[in-house]
Order: sequence, then C-alpha cells, then structure tokens
Amino acid sequence: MKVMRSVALGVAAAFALIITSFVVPHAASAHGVTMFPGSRTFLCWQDGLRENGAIQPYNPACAAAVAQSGTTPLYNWFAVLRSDAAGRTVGYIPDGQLCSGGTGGPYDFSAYNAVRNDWPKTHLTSGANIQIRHSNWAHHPGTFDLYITKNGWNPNGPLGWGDLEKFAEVTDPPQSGAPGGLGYYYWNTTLPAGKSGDHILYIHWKRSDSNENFFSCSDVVFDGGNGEVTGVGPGGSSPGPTPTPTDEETPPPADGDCTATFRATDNGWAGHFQGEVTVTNTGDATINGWTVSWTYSGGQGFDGAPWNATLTGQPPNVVAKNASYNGQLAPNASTTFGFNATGSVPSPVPTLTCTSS
Amino acid sequence: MLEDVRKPPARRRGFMAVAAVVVAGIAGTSLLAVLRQADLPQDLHQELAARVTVLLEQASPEEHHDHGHHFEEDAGQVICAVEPFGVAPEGAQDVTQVEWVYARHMCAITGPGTDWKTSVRVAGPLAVRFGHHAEVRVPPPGPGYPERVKELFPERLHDEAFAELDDGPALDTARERFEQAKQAK
Repeated sequence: MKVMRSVALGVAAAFALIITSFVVPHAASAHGVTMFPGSRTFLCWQDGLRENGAIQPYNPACAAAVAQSGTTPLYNWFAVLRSDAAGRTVGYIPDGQLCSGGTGGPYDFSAYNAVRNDWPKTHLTSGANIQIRHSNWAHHPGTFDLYITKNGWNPNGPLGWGDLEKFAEVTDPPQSGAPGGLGYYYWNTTLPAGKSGDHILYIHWKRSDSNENFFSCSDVVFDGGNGEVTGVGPGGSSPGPTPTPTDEETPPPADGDCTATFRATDNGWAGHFQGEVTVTNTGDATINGWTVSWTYSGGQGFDGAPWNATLTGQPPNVVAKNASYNGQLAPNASTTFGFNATGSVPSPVPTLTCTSS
Repeated sequence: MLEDVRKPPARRRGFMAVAAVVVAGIAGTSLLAVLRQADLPQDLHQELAARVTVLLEQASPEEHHDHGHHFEEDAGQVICAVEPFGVAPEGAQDVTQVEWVYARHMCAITGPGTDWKTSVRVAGPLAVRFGHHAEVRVPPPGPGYPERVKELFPERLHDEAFAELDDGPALDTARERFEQAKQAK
C-alpha cells in the first residue's frame, strides 16, 4: 500500500480513493450494467444491501467476491466499464475476465469473474420475447451488443469470447426513470431458441460519443422461467423451486375506460415479492394515459422504482401513472408494469382502480 | 488546497455543526454500542468519531473538485458514519495521546440514488493519523483487499477491521443527517 506522507498528499490520496466512488456517477460519462436479466454486480448488490446501507451478502458467490475485494466496488455496481475500450472485444478484454471488463476500470471487479455455479440466476424461456433493462445511471447514446453462450459451452471453465455468440443489438433504446438511480434503458429482445440449462447473457454497451464501454455478465438458466430470480437474499443461496404465481385478481368493474389486474409472485425471498399490473383499455376509444391506484394493508413497499410506470403516490396509498411510452392504449389493448416489492404477497390482493385520460 | 481543508471560516462553521450533530447523535449511545466500544473509553470514542467524520465530510465536494473531479451542481453532500475500534498507541485514554485512530466508515453522497440505502457510497476500515499533519489511509478495494487491510491495521485489530458497521448511533445519525440533507435540497 502506498504510504502518504504529507497532509496534502495524504488527504488528496485518501479522498481520491473515497471520492472516486462518489464522482464516477457524476462525471461526464455513462454508467450502467444490465438490470434484467440481472448482471452479477447488480444482483449481488441487491442480495447484500441491507436497510442500514451495509452490504452483507447472503449469496455465497457474492460473499466471496466481497471478501476478496471489499464492498466499495459493489456499491458501484453500475460501473463495470473501460474508458478506452472503443468497441474492442477479443484481445482487449482477456478471456476469463469478461465479467469484470478486464482490470483497467475505475473499480476492480475481477472477483466477479469467479467460475462458480451459485451466482444469482434469472430463469428464462428459450425463444421467448423479454424486455431487457439496462441501467441508465448516466445517459449517453450508444449500441448494446447482446451475446449468449453457445450450446455446449463449459460453465465450469473461464468465460471466453469464443464461448459467446452474438444474437442481437440495439442502438439508442428508450429509457425509463431518471439517470442517477435505478432507471434503465429498455427494449424487447427475442431470446435465442434451442437453449437449455445454464448460460451467460453478455451485454457490451458501446457509447457512440466516447470510447467508454460497459460489460455485463448475467447468469441465466433456460428452464421455462419467466424472469424469476434465485440466489438472492436469505435462503436464496441455491436455485430454489420455480416460483409459483400466486393470486391473480379478477378484473374489477371498469372505473372509467380501463381496468387493472394485480399479479404477485413469491420470488422465494422472505419479505420480498415481485408484482405485475396489467392495464387494459375496456372502452371504445383510444386512451392517452392511465392511472392505477390501490391501498396496501400489510405494510408492503417498493424495492426500487417500478418499470413501465411512474409512482406518484407512495405506499400504503399507491398511485402509479403510465410511463411516457405506454400511456396510449387502443380499445382492448393492454400493457403491463412491474416492480420489486418488500413485504409479504398481499392476501387478498388489493382492489385496483384504473382511470384513463 | 490544504488551507481550504483546515482554515476557511465556512468550513469551521461546518465543522462545528457537523461535530455537534455527530457528538449529539453518538451521545445517545446504545448499550450494544457501549459494549462494542469496550476497548475505547466512551468519551474518547465519541471524540474520535466526531473528528474523523468531520475530516471526511469536510473534504467534499469542493476539495474533490480541486483534485480534478467534477461534481455537478446537484451532486450533493457527503455524509459519513464513523465507528472507531482502536487506537495507537494501544491504551491511549485521551485524544491528545492518540497518534492513530482505526475506524470503520461509510460515506454516502446525497446526490444520486433515491435514499440512504441505495445512495452511492464507500465503506470499510480506515486509519487516520491526527496531529498537525493529518493523514488518512484507506485500503484500496479490489483483489488482494484482505491482505491490504491486514497490512494497514495492527494484528490485534484485524477482526474489528473486517467487521461491518454496527446498527448503532453512528449509522443512525448519519442516516438521519442524510435524509435531512436530501429534504433540504
């Protein structure tokens, strides 16, 4: 460790360390990793983050990474980046270091390259259409290259570029939520067909306004899942049973020209669940916006911001309005928004009120 | 830059304000925290916590800018929780006897993120040398982190250096101040 011998140098160096973490999100550079399917750093951050702000991982792979490198990289889960990447892949990021983007970034995420089978996993269905969500910690234009591991790849060996096949790319997708938080870019992608078992979804985000690139490893398993996450939170150290969708409300009588149904899924993590609300235009004319409200009676809350909707009322009296891109619904058309929640799955499910504009 | 750290009246006022809040917060020490601080006299613990907190918080955000970092106007304020767990020389009973203080810290910035829990931060053990020439040492994160921690801290304090901040007055006070700062924006 470098020893600092003067006040100026000491304070400067110490705060260079301390403040680098603070500054990164504010510097004129984009930051982000994949939030769905969750990257290793994002899901490990979710796994370990406690209410008091400390990171104390439950997942053994995340715990090992934190033990090896401290918590500070994980507090900056969105910063798996290289400022001089300029779109380079093979020969620039060495095989075995793909999940950390090598070692030249502001934080050393090397610990997240570990070859293990107990990283948090997202359960998906091969060939299905899913919405990718990628952190927009700072907004910048660019292209996302999507790779998936080839059939027959060895999950017990280091991940190399030769293990990956590119299956999609998207440029300048829309975003939801403001930068600097849990907002994200989003786009729909059809997952490759013919996949089964454990794979890694790898996303390489290349800014078009600078040479800075971002690298995300998402551990997924193609088992017919619908986005459920295992290996996160207490008791989630190994993939559990496929979460079972629970109560689904019968659409309430129309209040205005739309209805909303609430669907909650127990994700196997005590004190947490995932929610999804489907909004349907039941009228005869196109609506240009909607508002859904409900009241929790069991102390439930939100764990991060919803996707595809904006909260304007906080629990227990929840009010969610359409995002900028999904307010318009033709007659009989539907849209959904989702969220991660704290507390128990509400039972009975709350009564939802939908109003249109 | 050095003078900026030590002398400006605004900073001194800031020091007093921060120190008062930190000391007041820590004065409400829980029994658990008292037990945890058994190796340090309570008054010394409070004084060291307050001094290190101020040292860390007073370096931001202006000094950071001096170091080439570019906060945006709404980048926010740095709020720190500090929990001393040892001193050198061992057995020092008064702050004037302390050459080094060893502490766990967590510093969060009020700008990005939605709340204390999700705000951007750093955390871990650090060593601070008081005196005319203050010195702060933070083991850099990344692979080899445990070895760097062991190198920085006396062996008698290794377990404490790897421990997490307690759910106690230091965190509670920092969280409360964080939320107040967010609301004041």
